[in-house]
Amino acid sequence: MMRLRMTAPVLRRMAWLVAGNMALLAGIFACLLPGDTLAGAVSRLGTVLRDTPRNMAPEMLAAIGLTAIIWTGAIDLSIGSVLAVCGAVFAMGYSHQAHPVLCFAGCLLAAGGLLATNGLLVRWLGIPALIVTLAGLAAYRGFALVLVNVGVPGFDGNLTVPEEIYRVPGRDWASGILLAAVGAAIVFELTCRRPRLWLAHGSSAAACRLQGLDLPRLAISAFLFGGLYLGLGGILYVSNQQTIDPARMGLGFELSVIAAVVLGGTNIFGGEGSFMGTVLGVLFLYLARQALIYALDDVHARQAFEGALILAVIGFDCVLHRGEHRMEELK
Amino acid sequence: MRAVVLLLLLVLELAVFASVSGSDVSTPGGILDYLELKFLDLIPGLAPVLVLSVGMTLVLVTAGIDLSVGSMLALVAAVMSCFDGGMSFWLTAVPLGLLAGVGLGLFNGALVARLDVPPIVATLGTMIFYRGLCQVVMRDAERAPFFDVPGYEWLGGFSGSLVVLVLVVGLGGWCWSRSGWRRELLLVGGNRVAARYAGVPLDRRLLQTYALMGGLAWLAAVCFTARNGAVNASTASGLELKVIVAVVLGGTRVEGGRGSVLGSVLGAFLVAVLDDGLREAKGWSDEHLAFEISHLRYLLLGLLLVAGVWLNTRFGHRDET
Amino acid sequence: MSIESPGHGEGVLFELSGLCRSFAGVEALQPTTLSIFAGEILGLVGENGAGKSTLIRLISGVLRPDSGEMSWRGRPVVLDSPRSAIDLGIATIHQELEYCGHLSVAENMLLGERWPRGWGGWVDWSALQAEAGRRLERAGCDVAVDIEFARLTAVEKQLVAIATSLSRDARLLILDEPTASLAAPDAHRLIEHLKAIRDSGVAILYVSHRLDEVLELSTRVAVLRDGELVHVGDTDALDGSELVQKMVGRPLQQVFPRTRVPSAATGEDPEVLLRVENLTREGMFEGVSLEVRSGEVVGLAGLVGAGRSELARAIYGLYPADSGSMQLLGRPWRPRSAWDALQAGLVYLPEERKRHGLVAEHELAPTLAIGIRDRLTRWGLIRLSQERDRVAGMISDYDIRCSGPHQVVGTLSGGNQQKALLARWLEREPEVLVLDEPTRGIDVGAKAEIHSVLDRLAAAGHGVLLISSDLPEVVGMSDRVLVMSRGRLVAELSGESQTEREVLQAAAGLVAGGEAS
Repeated sequence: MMRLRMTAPVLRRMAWLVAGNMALLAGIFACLLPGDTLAGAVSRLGTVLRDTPRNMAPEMLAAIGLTAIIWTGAIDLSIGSVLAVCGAVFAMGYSHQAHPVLCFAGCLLAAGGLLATNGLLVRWLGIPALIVTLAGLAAYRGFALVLVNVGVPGFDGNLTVPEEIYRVPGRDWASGILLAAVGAAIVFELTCRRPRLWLAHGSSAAACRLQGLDLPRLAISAFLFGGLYLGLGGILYVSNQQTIDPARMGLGFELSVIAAVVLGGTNIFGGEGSFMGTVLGVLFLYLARQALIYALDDVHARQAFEGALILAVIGFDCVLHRGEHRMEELK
Repeated sequence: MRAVVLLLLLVLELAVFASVSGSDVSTPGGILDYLELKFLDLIPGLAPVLVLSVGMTLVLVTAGIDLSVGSMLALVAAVMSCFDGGMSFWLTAVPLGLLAGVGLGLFNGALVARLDVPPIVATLGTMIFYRGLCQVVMRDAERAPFFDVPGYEWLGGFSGSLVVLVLVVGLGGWCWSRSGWRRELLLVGGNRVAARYAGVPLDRRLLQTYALMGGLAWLAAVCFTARNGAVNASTASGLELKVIVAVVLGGTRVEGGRGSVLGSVLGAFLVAVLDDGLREAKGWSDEHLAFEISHLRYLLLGLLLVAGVWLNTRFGHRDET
Repeated sequence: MSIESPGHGEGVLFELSGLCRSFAGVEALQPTTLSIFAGEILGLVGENGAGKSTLIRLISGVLRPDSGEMSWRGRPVVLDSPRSAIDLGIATIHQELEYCGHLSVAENMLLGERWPRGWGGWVDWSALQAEAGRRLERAGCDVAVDIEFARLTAVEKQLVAIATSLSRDARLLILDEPTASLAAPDAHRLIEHLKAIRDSGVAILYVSHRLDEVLELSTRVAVLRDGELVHVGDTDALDGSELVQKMVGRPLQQVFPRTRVPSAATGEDPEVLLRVENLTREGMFEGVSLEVRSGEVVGLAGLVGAGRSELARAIYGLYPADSGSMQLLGRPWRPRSAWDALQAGLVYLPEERKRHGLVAEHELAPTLAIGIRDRLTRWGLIRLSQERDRVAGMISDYDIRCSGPHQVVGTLSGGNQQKALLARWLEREPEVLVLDEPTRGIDVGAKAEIHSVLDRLAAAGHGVLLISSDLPEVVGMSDRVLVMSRGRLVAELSGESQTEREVLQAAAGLVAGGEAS
C-alpha cells in the first residue's frame, strides 16, 4: 500500500529525518544545559524555537518550490539571484513610496516571472535546465544590480528600510504565513493531481507522452509553482531584514536549498520525493546549523561541518543504490 | 569551424571595447599598440581561469561537472598561506599545496566514481565543504606571505604567467591531444556503457580526471596568489561560473563525449576580454549609464553561456582538437 | 503469397494489403496482405530478421509503409503516428514497457485522464482506485492498485498494461514477445488471461518465439520468413514440427564458408582455449559448462532471455559468477574486469552496437583505434602516424565502406558499423572471440563478409563462441551448437543433429516429435 502516496524509500528517509531532528533538538538542549538551570535552558530552547520559523521561512518556501521543479527532472540554480531581483524590485517600490502591498506583490511577480522564463527557455532553446539556470544565476544577479541602480534614486550599495510596516510579513506574520504555505503545499501533494503529474514527468516523460499529456505545459507549471513559493519566500526574506543589499542577497542560497531538497528524499533526477520530506530536510539543516552554533565555539568551522554533513547523507544514499544501477546499465 | 567563430567574436569584442575605452585604433600602429597592451594586461589575470578551463574541459568530456573549483583554489591557497615566506616556501608550502589540491580532487572523484553520486550534487556539496574548510584555515584573516617568497612574484607577472600558460595549454594540450587517456575519456562521456564494454577502467579514469582538476586548481592557486599576493576566506568565489562559461563557449558539451582544449582557451579569452573591457569602460559608463558597468558583467556572462550552449546544440559538428 | 482461411468472430477487424517496407535498400517486409478478425488470436512467428518487428511497427503507427494500404473495419486508414493507432483502437504492448515506476498502479492506468474529484475539488483517491480496480477486473486481472508500479512483477506489469489498453477501448492488441522474460508459471498466467480476453471479442496479434505458447493460444498462425508471409492458416491444421519447417525451410540452402578442416578429420587434439565449468550466477544462468577449442566455432543458440549474453558478460569479466570456474588458455581464469580479458586475449562483441558499442557522434578512426590503444601508446602518448597506418589498414583489411577515417560512425550502414566494431577487436589478434549477434540487422553482403572472417579466424587456430538467434547462421557457421534455455545448457548438437529444426525445438522447449511439452 502506498501510504500518503509516497514510496517506501521516501518514507524511510522521512523517518530518519524525524529522528535526526529530534536528536538535534536534544543536542541543542544538551549544549544549552551546562551553566544554567533546567528552567533556564528550557526557556532558551524556547527562544531558539520561537525564532526558527522566521529565520527558516525563506529557505523552506524556496525549497518547496524547488522540489516541484526537481520532480519533473529539471533543476534551478538561479534561485539565489532571483531572490536578489526580488529585493531590487522591493527596493524600487519602496523608494517610490509605493504601498507595502505593491512592493511585496512586486517580489512575487518578479520571482514568478523569472522562473517562468527559466522554464520557457529550457523548452524553447532545448538546452538543459542546468545550463539555463546556471546562466540565470549570473544574469539575474546582474539584472538585480542594474535594476536597483537605475530604479532607486541615490542608491549607494544598500537600502535601509526602517519603517515598521515593512517588517510585518517577515517578522510578525512569518510563522503564520509559513504554516499556511507549508500546510497548503502538503495538502496539495496529498490531494491533487498536478503534483503526481510532475512526478510522472520526471519518472518517464515517454510514458506521459504516450498517455497524451502535454509535456511542456507540465514542465512550465512546475516552474511557475516554484516561482510562487520562491516569491513568497522572497517577501518573507526581504521583510526580515533592515537593509536590502542586492549584491549579497541570497548568495549561496541555492546550494543549501538543493541540499535540503536532496536530503529530504527527493531524487535529484526527478520522479520521486515529497514536500513533507523537503520540510523535514530544511528543518534538519537549520537545526544542524543551530546545533553547530551552540556546540562549536569556533565560528569558522560551521560551514565545513555543514558541508560534511550534507555530503555524508547524500553519499550514504547513493552508495546504497550503486550495485543494482551498475548491473542494470549493462543490459 | 568553431575556432574561427570564436576568433571573430574575440575581434568583435576587442573592437567594441577599444572604441568604448577611447583608445586610438585608427592606425595600424595604434591597433598593434592596443593589442600589445591588452595582451600584457590580460595574461596574468587570465592564467587561473585558463588553467582551470583546461581541467574543466576534461571533466565535462566525461559528462561530469566540477562546481568546487573556486573553493579548491581558495583552500589550496589558504593552506599554502600558512607557511612563512622565504626560500623554504618552495620546499614546504608549494608541494604541500599540490598534495592538497590533488587530494581534494581525489575526494571529488571518489564521490563520483566510487559512490556514484551525480557530479553536480557531489561537487555542489564539496563546494560548500571546501569553502568551509577554507574558513577554518583562514579565520577572518587575510594572509599575504606570497610576495615574500623569492621568485614567486615573477609567476604572477606577464612572463611568468606566459610560461605557465604555454606549459599547461601548449604542452599539456599537445599531450592531451595525443594521449590514450583522451580517447578513453571521450568514450566515457560519449557512451558510458560502451566504455565499460570496451574495457575502459571507468572508476580509475574518473578518479584521475577529478584528481587532475584538483592538481590544476593548485596551479591556478599559485598563479592567482602570485599575482594578488594575498588570500582570504572568500577568494575566488564565483570563479567556477567563469570557467564553465569559458569551456562551454569553446564548444565542449555538457552532456560529454566531445571537448576542445583550444576552444576552451579561446572561450577563456572571450570571457577575460569581456571582464577587462567592462572594467576599462568604467569611464564611459559613468558618463552614459546610470549603473556601474560591472553589473553588466554578470548579465553578459549569463547571456554568453546560454548563447554558447545554444549555438553548440544547433551548429555543433566537428570534433576535438 | 498469402493463404487465407475463413475467420472466426465477428468479421474482419483490420486488414493490410500490399504493405511493404525497406530500410536502406534492404527489403525488411515484402508486399504483405493479411486480415485480422475480431475475437481471434493470430500468432505471428518467424525468426529474427524475418520482418515481425517491422510489421508490428507498421501496424502500430511507428513506421510508415513504403506502399500498400491498411483498413479498419472496412474503412481505409493511414497510421502516421503511434497516437493515431491508439486512437483507432490498436494497442501495442512492447517488451520494454514505458511506465512511471514511483506512481501507483491506479495512477499509471489513468494517467492521461480526468481523475474523480471529491467535494472540495480534491482527488478522490478511493474512487480513483475503485475505477482502476474495475478496469482491471473487467480485464480479468487481480493486481493490487495501490502499490508502486515498479514493485509489480514482470507479468503483473504486462497484465496491467493490457488492462489499460483494453480500458481505452482497444480492439486489437499486439503483444510483442510478452513471455520473453517470464518464468513458466507467470507465462501460463498470462496465457490464460489472454484466452479470457479473446472471448470478449478483442483481436490479439501474438508475436512470439515460444512456439509451444503460440500453438496453445492462437486460432490462426502466420509465418514470416525473410520478409515474406509464407503461411497463414488455422493453428489446428499443423503441428510443431510442421510450423518449424515453415519457419526455416528455404528454397535454396544458404552457403556458409568452410575452409577450415575439422579436427576430427586431421586426428589432432586441438588445445582447449576456453573452458567453463559449472558456472552459476543467481538469476542469470546455472551450472553452465562448455569448451571452446582452437580452430573451432562453437554456436550458442537460445531464445531471448535464455541467459546467453549474461553468460558471455561473466566470461568477459564484467561481473563475477557466484560459483564455478573458468580456464583461459590453460590457466585459471578469474577476470576482474573487461580489460583483464582484453589483455589475456579474449574479446567480446556486445549484442547492441548502438547502445553497447558505439558513440554515434564519434569518428571512425578513434572508434577503431581504441581497441589497440595499449599497443599504440608509448609513455601514455599515441604514436599518431602509427595509429593512422593501423586505422587505414583496418579499413582496408575488413573492407569497411566509408568516406574515410573521419566519417562519423553514426552515418555508416549497420553492416559497416558492425565490421568496424569487429575490426577493432580483431586487430588485437585475440585467441578467443565471443560474438553476440554479430550479424543482427545488417545486410546480406556484410553478413557474408563477417562469416568469411570468422571462418578464417577458426582456420588460423583461434576459437570463436558465436551467440546467435539467426538459425541458419548458428547452424551453418558452427562446428557444434550448444543450446541454452532459461539459464541452463539444454542441448549440444553436432553432426547429423545439428539442424535448424533441432536447435529451434530445443530452444523453444518442444520435445522431439513436435508436440508442445
